[in-house]
Amino acid sequence: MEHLTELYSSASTNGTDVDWHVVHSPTQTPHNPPSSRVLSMQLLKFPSIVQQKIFGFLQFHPLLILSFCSKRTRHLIRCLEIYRWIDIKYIRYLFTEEDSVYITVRGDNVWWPFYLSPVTLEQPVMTAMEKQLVVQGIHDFLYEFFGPSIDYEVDSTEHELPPSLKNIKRTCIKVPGNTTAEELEACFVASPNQEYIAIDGNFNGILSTNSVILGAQHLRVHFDGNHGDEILLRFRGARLQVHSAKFHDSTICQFLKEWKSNQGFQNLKSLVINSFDYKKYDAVNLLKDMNVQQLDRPQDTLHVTWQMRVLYFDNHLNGSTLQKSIRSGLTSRDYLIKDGDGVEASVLIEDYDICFALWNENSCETEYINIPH
Amino acid sequence: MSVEPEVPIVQVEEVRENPVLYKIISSDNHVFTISEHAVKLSKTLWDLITNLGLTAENALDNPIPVENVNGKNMETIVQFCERHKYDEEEPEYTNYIREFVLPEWDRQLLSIDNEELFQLILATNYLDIQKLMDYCCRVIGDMAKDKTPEELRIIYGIPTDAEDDALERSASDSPGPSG
Repeated sequence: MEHLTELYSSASTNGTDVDWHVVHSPTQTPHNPPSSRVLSMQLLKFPSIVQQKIFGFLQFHPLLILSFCSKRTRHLIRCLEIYRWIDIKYIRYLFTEEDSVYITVRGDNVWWPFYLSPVTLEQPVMTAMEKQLVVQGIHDFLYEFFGPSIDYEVDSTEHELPPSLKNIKRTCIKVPGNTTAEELEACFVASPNQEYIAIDGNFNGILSTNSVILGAQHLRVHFDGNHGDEILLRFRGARLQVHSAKFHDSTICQFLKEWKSNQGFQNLKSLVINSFDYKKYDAVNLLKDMNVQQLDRPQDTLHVTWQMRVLYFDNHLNGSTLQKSIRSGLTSRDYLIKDGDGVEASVLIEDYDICFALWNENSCETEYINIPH
Repeated sequence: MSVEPEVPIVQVEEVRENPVLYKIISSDNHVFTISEHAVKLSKTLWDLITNLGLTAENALDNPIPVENVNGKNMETIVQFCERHKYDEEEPEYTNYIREFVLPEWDRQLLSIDNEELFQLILATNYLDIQKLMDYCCRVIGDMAKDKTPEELRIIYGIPTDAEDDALERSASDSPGPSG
């Protein structure tokens, strides 16, 4: 901590009395408090071409602090420096056990990390409400500053649940122990319609009735237990991945039948279940009444792939570019045909895994398999 | 215009190595002599010289009046241009953040109070001297390092939202030219 430069920001705290630091870690320079004897440099009176040149010498952090000063400076910086934000892909709020909020502003060529930290000595730990107010204030400010064209993400460790923030597109929560379904649901009140949600940690698999989590376009859940059935049957999004959880055979059959008979799962494009060592599935038994089709030629198999959303990550294999999805897929000769519209979906049930993917919503490639004579 | 130089800035070695000199008259009637290489750092002045058709033969007989720049700033500007007249051209900047080390000589030259620096920047902007503008703006940008919003408000003379609102109200309340 001692090598860090701490900057106090009272801005955008939406009325809370808590003092927070906005902290970053650039090269440290001597602290020169302004002297009241010296006349101010009248920054706002310069022609805009000069202001732009001055801002061009400022890193993101001092620019952000400068934009806290007034609406005028915020507007000015946003107008003159917009070309610098074009590269930005996302802003992520990471909530950790240190009671700090790490904020990362990232683009392919931009990495501006800073964090908010409570500094009131009398009250070193913030209540959830106080943190909510502070973080929402900062987030509102950043959202107004950068606009809706970039993605806003929330990430949290198992220490505590993150506050609910508006305009969040992707969330990854490691659930603390003893969290109730209602507490988890509260994390999504302000941003109920998310593109991607990942639930991990000490999640017990229990969600509220009509949980917004089950409406995420891409949902990845990881938990040990028996509540996978409810998650699968109530999922309303496009892509679902469930890891570790066990599913009853009757649930898998119900899912396949409902999809095939056009009675449910209309939005579903892909499903991946991996029950690890907890349960093995019997493909013959599960598919026996499903009128499963097989590819015409015995030497053919179909490889179906799709992009599953994740939080943005640095793909070092791909020239260190930022990516917000990873490739998933299945390979199978078996497929189902939906009644009515004839939509096809590959299905694979093998050991601990169940995979299902539509053909027309994913990428399909026929592969030749060498059949021994 | 008949003027006498109070603070003539003539680099002796410059006269030796490059006989082409130009005369510039500041807004307060100070006369400065500047070499051809140095004056080329100012796009405005060099365009003027070119357009006026000044040559080595007639340059000193035709002083160039610069009414937007006073003698004090012109002195700094001439010093700067003479100092940097043989610098290599700056490469094109590819990064958004402009990084370079400000030379000590220039840092000393620009160690002036805020009002003087403000006026120098306006003069530099008018004379279109890219390198000096970069250096001045870098000095002003450095003022923002490791400061809080309240400190920046003082350093840069930034009014609060309430002060801005009050100013706007008083401007809209004040009678116009016909009122």
